[in-house]
Parts: sequence; structure tokens; C-alpha cells
Amino acid sequence: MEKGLKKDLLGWLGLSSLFAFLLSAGVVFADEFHYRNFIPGERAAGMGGAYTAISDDPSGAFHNPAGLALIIGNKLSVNVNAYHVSDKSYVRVLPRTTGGADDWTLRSSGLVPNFFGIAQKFGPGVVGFSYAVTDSISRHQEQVFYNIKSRLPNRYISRYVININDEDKTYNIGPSYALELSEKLSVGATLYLHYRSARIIRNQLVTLDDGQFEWANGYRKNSEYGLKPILGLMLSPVDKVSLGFTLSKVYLFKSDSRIQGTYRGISSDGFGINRVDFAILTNKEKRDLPYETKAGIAYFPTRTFLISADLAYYTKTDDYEQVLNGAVGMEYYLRPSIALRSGLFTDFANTPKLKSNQTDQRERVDNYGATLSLSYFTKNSAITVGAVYVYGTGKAQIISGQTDIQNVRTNTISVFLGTSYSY
Amino acid sequence: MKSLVVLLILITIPILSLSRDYRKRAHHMEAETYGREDVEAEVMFGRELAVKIVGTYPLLRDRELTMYVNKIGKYMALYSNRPEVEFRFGILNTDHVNAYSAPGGYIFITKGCLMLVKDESELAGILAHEIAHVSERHIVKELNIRGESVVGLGGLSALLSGPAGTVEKTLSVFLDQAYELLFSKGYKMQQEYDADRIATEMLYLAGYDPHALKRFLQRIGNSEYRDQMQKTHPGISDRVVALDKFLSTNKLREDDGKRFEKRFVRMVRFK
Repeated sequence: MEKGLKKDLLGWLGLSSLFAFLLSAGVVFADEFHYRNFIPGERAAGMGGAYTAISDDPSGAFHNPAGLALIIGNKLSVNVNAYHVSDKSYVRVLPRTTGGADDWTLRSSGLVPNFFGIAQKFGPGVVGFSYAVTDSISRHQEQVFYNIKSRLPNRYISRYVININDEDKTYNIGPSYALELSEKLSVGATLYLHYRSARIIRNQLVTLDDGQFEWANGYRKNSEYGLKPILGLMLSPVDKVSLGFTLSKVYLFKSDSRIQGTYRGISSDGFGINRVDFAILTNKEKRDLPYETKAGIAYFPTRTFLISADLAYYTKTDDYEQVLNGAVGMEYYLRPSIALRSGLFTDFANTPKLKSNQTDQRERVDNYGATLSLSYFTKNSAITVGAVYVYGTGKAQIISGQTDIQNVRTNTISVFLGTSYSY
Repeated sequence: MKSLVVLLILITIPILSLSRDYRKRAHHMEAETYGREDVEAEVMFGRELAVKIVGTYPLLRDRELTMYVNKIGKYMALYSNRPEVEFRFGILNTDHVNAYSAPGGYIFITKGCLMLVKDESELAGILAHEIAHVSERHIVKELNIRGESVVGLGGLSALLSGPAGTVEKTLSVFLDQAYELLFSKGYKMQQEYDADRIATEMLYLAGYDPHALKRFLQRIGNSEYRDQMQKTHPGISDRVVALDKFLSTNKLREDDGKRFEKRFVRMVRFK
């Protein structure tokens, strides 16, 4: 388990660390502490992910494969690109020698082609193939802070340099099949190959006011392979009402983690001058990921309006706490060729509440999101522009080995552009 | 988990005959507006399908009877919402009891079916039912037959008039799917119910007895031909129940229209 791996390295690296952000267990590399980092599909994204009971486009492969059987038309392809900017601020963690404190902010940004899907009738059912990016972090930043208080008596940090190069992405790719058992009951299944690839490079140099310095450099690589089957059911108990249910879980069959760390401490902490420590740690232990069960309801009162709601429950595992998330969404046609969509959703953390007098606890940030999109339809195609805003607050323990708990604030904005084509 | 499965089954049982038409959004309805090229493609496709149908059951060579069926059919077509389509009617020389429609207005009734009809209003009801399948574009929508953008080859018009080879094979696939729909798979249940309802409306508007189609269905339902008809249609008793409900809701009585029994007996004589 990577948590143990980090701790091992910290034990080796961080005993005398002055300000060990670098490999603190509390700092998230990818956002594995949340389950709803991206919402695949243009329509689903516009509706806040409240899509389990709709899912009648290729993104149904991800949200509820049974919905693929209900696609109107023969074939459809959807392609979505999203540009996202995410800021995570650890509030007042950098105490200035002149009084007050600064926030430490991590920023991730990038253009992510986060969904592609196609579906078409095949035999008695509908076959689909899709690709979805479910998590993506891309941080490349260099930061310098001056005149910060240190943990050493009568010493302060005159210059603190942090350089970060993080790339961490999770991909799902695979086929789906859906069958309409009757005009109001359909079933479907998707089998995704789950692949996660992460490369985290961090470098920090802490220079004290007397000229001593501490330097730490870490290079971490992670890769994960697994299968994610999704089973879906869609039914309609009464006219204009749809119910959707899904069950899924990621089964990891391979996981590799490797950390290379180099550390040079200061002499006042017991390090000899010019002593540099170096270690490589590897781990093949697999994360224990939860079962995900989703239930959704959608009401289609008219051709121009629909509302939907979802509940998603994630079971407790050895690594994560249980989570219940909700989402509501609506779609309204301003004109037959223009649809407005919006939604609200929660994205709660799967980590436990932080306790006092403990160290190296994982951060817990609960997110709340709002979405808005506009689609323009022509005879066989549609183009959609939209935005997702997520705000989160929570607690973290960013400094390794310390019992201090910090406040965390997150702001994420994603702007997406989607196209779909029916033929 | 076991109780969840039971709950799902219980929820599922009563829903097996409901429509999912409500999923269509405003832009789907907009996309369902059809232009001149689309209608041309539909007529060309229907003509090819009609050739396939006649290849299965030959046409009955009875000019007088065919003219009579055409008169009734064309009169009923006046009450459809497809004025741009020229409907044509033929009698298939088979004892099999059924009626068929191909896109573009090609309608067929079998000799076996005609022999079970008792009056002109029933014949009008059967033809109106088939006209409704065409006017509602049931096959056109199922196969997405359009004058443009069909399989990226420049439209169905191009398929039908284009060079030999791949395009012909593609057309052949479409025709096979439509043929399968007519002769083995059948239309969707809701489409059949819609066609029954529209046909009954047309009967009333045309001055025929609005109960005629229901009466004919009841006769088939009580005959040895019931199973034959139900191979490609929903249960006859369910259709009768649905029609009964529609007739009573709209207060449509048998004496709201004519049956023309004598004229029918005079005109329909098999040689």
C-alpha cells in the first residue's frame, strides 16, 4: 500500500526535514480521495452527472450501459474535450517571520480529451466502445518563498524553493453491449480496462538564514492495471419516468510503485556535512477499491424539459471510507435546436475525518459542484459548450510528522466542448 | 441482494408494454422533419422493398379487384398526413392472412386476408392501418432512411442509383432488415397500437364505421388465423382492448359511419 511506502520513505528521509511538503502522506498526488473528478459525456456533464436513468447516448457506456439500448437513431459518436484548472490551497501553512502566514497553492491545468464513444445497432442489441478519462492531474509549477519561520529554535528559512512536475491520469477503455428486453426494460454491460499512470517529480531546497540548507528530491512512478465491469439496468415503471441502476467495481490485477529519493540534511539535525542519503523503494501492493452502486430517476414531462437525480454509494474498503454522493440535473430546450442543461452534485472525500494528536493523516476535502451547458443541434449533429465548477473545503495534515491540522480550500473550473454525430 | 432482485422483477412485470417514446427530445422532433430528398429516398427504397415482397408472394392478376382495393386505399390515404406520397395498393396471391406496407406508399393485402373481410369499412380499416405505418414512417425511422448522410455514401439516392459493388451490398442489408421487419420480426408493439388508433381515426373521418378494424381483429382472434397474425403483430386481444378503450374514450359508435357491405360483396369476387 502506497501509504506505507510514503511513510517508509518519510521515516528515512524526513526525520530531520525542516518543512517536508515533499512526500508528506497528507498531500494527494492524484485525486484518488474522490470518485467524481470528471463527468464523461457532454450531456451528462451538463446535468451534473445525474445521468444513470438517462444514459441514452454513447456516454451511457460509462454511466449506465443499459441506456445504450435506448439510443435514438442508428449510430452515434460523441467526443468531448475539457480544459480544466484546479487550485488547491492549504491555508496559512507558510508562517512569515514578519507575522502572518501565506497559503500554499497547488495548481493543476490542462486540456484533456476526456471522452470518446460510439454506439451502433448490432444484432438484437446495441454495441458500444468508449474511452473515458476519469481522473487527470497535471501540475508543473515552480515556487519560491522567502523568510519563513522554521521548526528550529532561533533559525528561520531565508529561501524555500519547491519545484513540482506531476502527471497522473486514469483511463477507462473498453466495449459495451446493451439489449432492449422489452420496449421499457433494457440491460447492458461494459467491460473497461482500467489503467492509471502517474509520474510525480518534486524537488525542494530549504536555505536557512545562517547558510545551512536542506535538499530533497523525489521521483515517483505508479502504474495500475485492472478491469472495471459495469452492469446496468434501465426500466420505466410508469410513463415518462425512467429508473436506472448500476453496479461496478475496479478489480486491479497489477500495481507497480517505485520511489527514488535523495536527501541532504542540515548538520544541526545530526547530519554530517556533505552526507547525502539515497533510497529506492518499490511496492506491488494493490489498492482495495470499492463497489459502486448507483440509482437514478429521470422524469420527462415534455419534449422540452426533463429532470433527473442520482445517488451513488461506494462501499468501505481496507483503504477507503464509505461514501454517498448525490446529483440533480435538468435539461430545457430554449428552442428545438438549443438545449440548456444544468446540475448540482456532491463529491465527498473517501477518507476519515482527521483526528487531533495524530500525524500523517490523509486529507479530507468535501466538494460541491455546479454545471451549466448549452447545446446546439443540427439535423444529424450537435455541439455543446459547458462549464463545471467545483468548490471544496476540508482539513489536511500537510507537514509530515506534525500534529498540526490545516484548512484546505479547492476551486476547480472545467470548460468543455463536445460534439456528437448521428448517422 | 436477493430481495433487491425480487423487487426489480416486481417493478419490471407491469412495464413490459409501455412506450419509451417520451425519451425523444425537442431536437429529435426537429430532426424528424423530412425534406424532398428524404421523401425521394423513401419512395425509392420502398419500391425496392415492394419488389422483394412481390418476389415472395406474386400479385393477384385481377384488374377489377385491384382497382377496387386501390379506390378504397387511395380514398383512405386522403385522410393521412402524407399528401406528398402517392399510395399504391396491390393484392398478394396467397392464402396467408396478412397485410404489408413498404415506405413510400406501397401497400399490400393478401388474398387470404381479403377473404376474411366482411364489408368495405373493414377493408378500409386494414388499408388505413398499413397507411399509418407509412405515414408514421415506422420503417424509415427504424432504419434511418434519409436522402443524405446515409452510411456516409452520399445518401440513399446515391445508393440506389450509384455504381455496383459495396453500395449495392449496403442497400441489400437495409432491404433485408426491412424485409425481416415485415415478415418475421414485426413492428414494435407501440407502433402497431399507434397504427390501429390512427386507422380508426381515419375510418371515422372518412365516414366509415369506426369499429370496423376492431371487428375484423376480433374475427381473426377467434379464427384459426390468430397465431399466424400474431407472429408479426402484438396479441390480438390486447389490440382489441386498446381499440375499445380508444373508441369509448372518444365516444365513437358503430353507427357513426357506414359499412358498405353490399358494395363490398358485389366488388370482391374471386375468380
